Amino acid sequence: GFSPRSNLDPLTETYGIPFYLQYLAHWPEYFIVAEAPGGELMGYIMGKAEGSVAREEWHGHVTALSVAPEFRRLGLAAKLMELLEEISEKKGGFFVDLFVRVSNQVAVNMYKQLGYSVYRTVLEYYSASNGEPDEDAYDMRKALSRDSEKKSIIPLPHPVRPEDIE
Amino acid sequence: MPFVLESAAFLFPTSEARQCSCWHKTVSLLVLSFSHPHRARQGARQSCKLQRKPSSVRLRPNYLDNGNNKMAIQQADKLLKKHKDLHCAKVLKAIGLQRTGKQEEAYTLAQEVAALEPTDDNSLQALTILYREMHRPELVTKLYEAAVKKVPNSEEYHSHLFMAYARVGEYKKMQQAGMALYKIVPKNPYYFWSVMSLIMQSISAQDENLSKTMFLPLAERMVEKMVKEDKIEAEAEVELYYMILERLEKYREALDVVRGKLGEKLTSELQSRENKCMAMYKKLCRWPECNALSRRLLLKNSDDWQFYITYFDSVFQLIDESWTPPLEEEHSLEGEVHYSIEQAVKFIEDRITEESKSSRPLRGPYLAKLELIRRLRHRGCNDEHKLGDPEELMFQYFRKFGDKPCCFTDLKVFVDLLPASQYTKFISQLLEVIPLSATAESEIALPDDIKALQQHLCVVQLSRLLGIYHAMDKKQKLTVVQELMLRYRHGLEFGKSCLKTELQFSDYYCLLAVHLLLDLWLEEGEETAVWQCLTLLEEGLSHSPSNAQFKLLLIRIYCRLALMQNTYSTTPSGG
Repeated sequence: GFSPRSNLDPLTETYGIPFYLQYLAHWPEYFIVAEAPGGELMGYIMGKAEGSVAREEWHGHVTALSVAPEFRRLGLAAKLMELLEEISEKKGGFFVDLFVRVSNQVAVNMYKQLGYSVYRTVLEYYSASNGEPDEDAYDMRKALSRDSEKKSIIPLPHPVRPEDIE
Repeated sequence: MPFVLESAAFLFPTSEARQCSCWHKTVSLLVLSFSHPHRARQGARQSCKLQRKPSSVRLRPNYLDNGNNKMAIQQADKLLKKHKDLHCAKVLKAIGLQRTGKQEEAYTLAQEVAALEPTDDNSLQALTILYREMHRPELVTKLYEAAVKKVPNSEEYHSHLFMAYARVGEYKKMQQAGMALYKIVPKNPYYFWSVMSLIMQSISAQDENLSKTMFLPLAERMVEKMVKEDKIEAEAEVELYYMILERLEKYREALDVVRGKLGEKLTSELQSRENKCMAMYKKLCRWPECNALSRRLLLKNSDDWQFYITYFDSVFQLIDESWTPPLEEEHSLEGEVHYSIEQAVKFIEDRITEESKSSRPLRGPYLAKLELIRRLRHRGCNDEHKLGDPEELMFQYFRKFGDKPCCFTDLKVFVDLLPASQYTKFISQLLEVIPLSATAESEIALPDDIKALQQHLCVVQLSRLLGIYHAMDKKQKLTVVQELMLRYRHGLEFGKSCLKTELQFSDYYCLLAVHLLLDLWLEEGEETAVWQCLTLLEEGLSHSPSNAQFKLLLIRIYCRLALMQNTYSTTPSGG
């Protein structure tokens, strides 16, 4: 999961080994890596599925997505997202969601182009490392076919805090 | 038991503790609060909803949760004065001690409780937490071994025992614990925990023979039993079965499992069955199936490089075996097979034709053609098939994809197809098609937009790869460095609106200039070159603060220079 080139990108979060191992153990199907013909790691995606089926909150979640600079502008991020959505559809998810820094305009626009919309803002979701203030996150969602009326993506009128997330 | 509630009250905030009067729940929440404070609070809220009885409890904040270990120890001591044998209080005190660095005291206190072989859930959980924080997982196994001896039918304690063994890698004991659990409650997971433990024993066995003749066959028989009794439930169980058969090298059987009814459970991973089948076909050298399956998967996604490799491997194997399709049956289990070069050529050409219609063509088919040429050359029969010259194909590839950063890494794979005598000509050919314009200020022709810049960068990288700079003398190299830096600075124009977290489009010019200077420093002893490197890298970093390559190079160079500094300072003569 840790890719030398894409994790050196400042906007790619790097977690501890136990975090990656937990995902590999629990949701291996969501851990997808793209490799170039020369063997270089082009990018990867990590995700999971969670939430109550009864409350129609069973969904796929994008935990991390990163493409190395050398392999950008190939539609790879879109392809990896497409695969994650396909897996989530197979599992009967109602929607796919992800968190992204409010300041990461490039990513926000990319997800919008892929059909995601802002569902809610999560205040101070990202804790800063160096004395800077915590940053807010957009919780962006895309409805899957099981949510035929697209109820899951109706935006909330007010922001929430991290503690309020299930 | 008001005093217990008092101690438990240092768990939750005021309003919740006020309402909790259930002894068991509060103390278990107390214990939970150390490992999962958030869940403990949730649990407290839940139990409060269930029991709204008033209590005469005095309320205190959650000391251990807030890291207030001293207060927690004090509270525990107060309790122990009144009830000196209160296990839970002892363990909580021990946790407080451990967290304030008093390891020995904490351990002694904990062992007082452990020696009594407690069987209450709260003590066990609290001790587990303590042992975990002390990094003594083996103590947890002792704890639960004693507990299950006293309470042999406890599903929960056997479960914890299994987990405790897992933390210390005691695979044999895990196997036994799994079966003990299954005897108490015949749930599939427990059975398969035992199976998995056998596989772990086979993996870690010093004697490889033991793996193949004892552990794995036993695991296989265990799974077969469940299969016979039609008791297979979960996908993971099928995955485990496949894993065992593969490790036993029983590839036929593994293939049958995947292709059969059990294989229908393999739904989580995309293309799970296809991937497993492919692996087995390769092991079994079933080239017709390899070919047919990779052909089908390439039709689904013509960018999946691994299947081009398999497709080519299998075609050539079939040719070498002089394979011909059966007269009346299916070519293979996986459908139509290609078994001649003509068919392979047509297949690749068709993929290219398909892609060229797309507004955003995939690179796979084009590179596959180059790979095919490589294979044919290797077999000495390229010329007959008129696929064209690699130089021409690579040139066309550059025209199509040269503005993408990956063009260089793609072409790099196939440069061995170019004859060395053609390098310079090849580079010139590429340069000719890049829209560059000379300005009044510079004699050098510069790109007008980002696409042209990227194309030019690709050519510069190729030049370095093909050794064109390497062949130059010092003066020429320095001229190249100058030019690259000029291009770098010019290219910054295009990146004016780049964010701090984005890299500049022209960064690679700077990097290549630096690498050339490094060559001069390391290979030709040019001392001044390294200082120029540092200056250029710092300049690059000022425009691209997120460029990790700049940073890594700076670190490496600084380290090397520091080492040299040390050398200078330790040799009296200074040299």
